[in-house]
Amino acid sequence: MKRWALLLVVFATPWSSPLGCGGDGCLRNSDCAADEVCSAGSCAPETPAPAAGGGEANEAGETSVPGAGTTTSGSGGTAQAGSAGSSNAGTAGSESSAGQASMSEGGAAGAVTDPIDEGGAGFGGALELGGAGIGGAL
Amino acid sequence: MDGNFGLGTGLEGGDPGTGLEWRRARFRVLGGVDLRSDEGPADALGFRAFVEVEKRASVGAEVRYERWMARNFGVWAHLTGTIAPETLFGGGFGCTAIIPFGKKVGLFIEPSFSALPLGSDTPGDTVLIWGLLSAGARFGL
Repeated sequence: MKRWALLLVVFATPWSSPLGCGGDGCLRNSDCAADEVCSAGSCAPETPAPAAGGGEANEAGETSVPGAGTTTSGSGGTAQAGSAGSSNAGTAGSESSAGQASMSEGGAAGAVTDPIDEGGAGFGGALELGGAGIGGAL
Repeated sequence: MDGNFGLGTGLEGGDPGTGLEWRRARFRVLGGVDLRSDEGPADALGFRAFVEVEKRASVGAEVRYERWMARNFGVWAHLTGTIAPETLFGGGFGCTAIIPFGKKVGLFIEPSFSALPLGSDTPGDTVLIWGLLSAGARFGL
């Protein structure tokens, strides 16, 4: 009896790490938190849903960025390479800082000739540049 | 009809995208019944429910066709899987050895092997593999 009881304990007791379940690795999605999935052996956030207002930027081939179009510096007009529609699009209100819209995707954009209009478009200013891939001046 | 209650663990393997990896399977608590026919006591149908109690707890079940080769030794094939929080389905086989303690009570030991290719719990189209060893008490009902 003792022998079998010992056998039960040995096999039923969880082994310790490194074979154990602890650690950051995962084999199953349920190894991760509810809002994460197992990817390449580690937990990663689930793919975010497309952000509202990021539609045209997506067409430029980049993943949309949540919060696209929020003004961060007021400089507007400057779209980050390939991520048109993200972050710095802003209000582009200042004529002096509206500057250029440079993009790696969607074609090379020239200088914005009418920064006021760009500013008037709000977040859309740089988005349109990236989305349409317009190379020349607007 | 026989009841079972036990504990289990073992090895769990799968390919999360970085090649086949193995680790210790989640510790589980299991219970269930075996139904034997009076006319053909060598054949039985087994039902098990289990709870994996490590990390995020998951709940699963298993149904078996058992073939008893001797009074205290049988082999079986099963369908198994989890239903929450993610789904996982597959099948496998195993055997049961019983160490009797009296007429109605015994200790069971069950090695088993399962392959689980279906469900939302596997990352991508990979197959999860369980090599488990379970043990516990068996009692006549």
